[in-house]
Amino acid sequence: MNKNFLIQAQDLSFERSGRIIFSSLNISLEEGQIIFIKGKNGSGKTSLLRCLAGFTPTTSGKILWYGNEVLPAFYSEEPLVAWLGHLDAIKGSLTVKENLLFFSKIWSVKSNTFNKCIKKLSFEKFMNFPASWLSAGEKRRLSLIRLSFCPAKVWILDEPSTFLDSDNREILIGIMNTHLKNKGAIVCATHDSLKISNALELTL
Amino acid sequence: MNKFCRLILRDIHLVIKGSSDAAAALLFYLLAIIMFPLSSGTESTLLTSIAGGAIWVAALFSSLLSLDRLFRSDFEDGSLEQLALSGISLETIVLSKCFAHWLTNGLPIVILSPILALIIGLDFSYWWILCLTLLIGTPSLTLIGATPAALSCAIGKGGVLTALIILPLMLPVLILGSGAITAEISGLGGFGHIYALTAILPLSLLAVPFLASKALRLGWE
Repeated sequence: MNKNFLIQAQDLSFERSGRIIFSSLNISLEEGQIIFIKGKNGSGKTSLLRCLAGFTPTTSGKILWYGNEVLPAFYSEEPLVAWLGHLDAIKGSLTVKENLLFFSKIWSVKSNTFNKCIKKLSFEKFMNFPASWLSAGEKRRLSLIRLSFCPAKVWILDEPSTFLDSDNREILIGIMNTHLKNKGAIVCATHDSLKISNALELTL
Repeated sequence: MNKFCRLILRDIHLVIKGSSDAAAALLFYLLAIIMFPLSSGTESTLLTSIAGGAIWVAALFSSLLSLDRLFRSDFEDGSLEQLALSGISLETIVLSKCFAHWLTNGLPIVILSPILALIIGLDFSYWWILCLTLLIGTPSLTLIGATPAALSCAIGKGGVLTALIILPLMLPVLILGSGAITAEISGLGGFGHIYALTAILPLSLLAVPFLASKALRLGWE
């Protein structure tokens, strides 16, 4: 078994009430690799990502993390996966700062990294706003800040570029490139063409 | 500070900031008890004999009201997914949420109960047994309600349905809790009931984290 793989999905298939969503998929990602999952609406992109993260059990196949079979991914002491899904996990009644601080403490993030991530998405002026004041795009950027300071090596992103304008899309690509440079790996489902060099692609 | 305490503090913080119905549940508890003397006229002996049971029923409904939201808001906005991936087991999350719920619902119920005993006309020399039964019983109420609350996330609607599942499960706690007070007042001594009531707590403490986290996982599938 190759230990360099961060995540390996072997012969994955998934059925939902008799309908085959996908079958015999193989994905392996090394450090610094990114794979884009493409496909039409309803082709099972989100289902695949939820299977990888361990929220949904697969019908057959194996998912290996760091060469070991740990299933689901959230049975570990440290965060293995950073997840960015359709739900933003933001509490409207708390301020932006409180929302971010909670996760940074749970993940024991250094305050240095924390501040750098906030700066990168230019979110300093929002810090004391209640999160419910934010627009959809700003909420998405808040999720991106949380994503960028998450210590997990594997990122699973579901449509990360929705609600983002072109400037912030560039910032998103920048964040993803930095993560890849720091020996991370990314699985990303998207309809947009995010330009990242050496990206693998899988069409469902 | 470890992650368990952080989770509890976060939940309490959210309750204080008002994104939860905790205050409404407590107000319901107060108002329901205040209604009793107003509706049953001047006959104080009748009121005295049902006082213990009335306070227990009000406490039960109050925790029922707030239990519906136990996991729902975190489940619906995706916080629960983020927490589960943060290296905290779902069982720990369930326990911390139950503990936070007890701190914001059960504990105030216990603290308010001597005042309510005065309002409803329970002989004040029995306040200690009312407090003691509530102190032992309310954590069990929270724990017993956690699994149905988690299941209600899976099926996507709560309210009446959750109540219908929870109420029969909570009956033993209610019977033993109010039974202890009645037995003490009648001179039999309430400790027999209290021992049985105490036995429910460790049992539910052991079973509920696994059942509730299984129910939450069902909701993700």
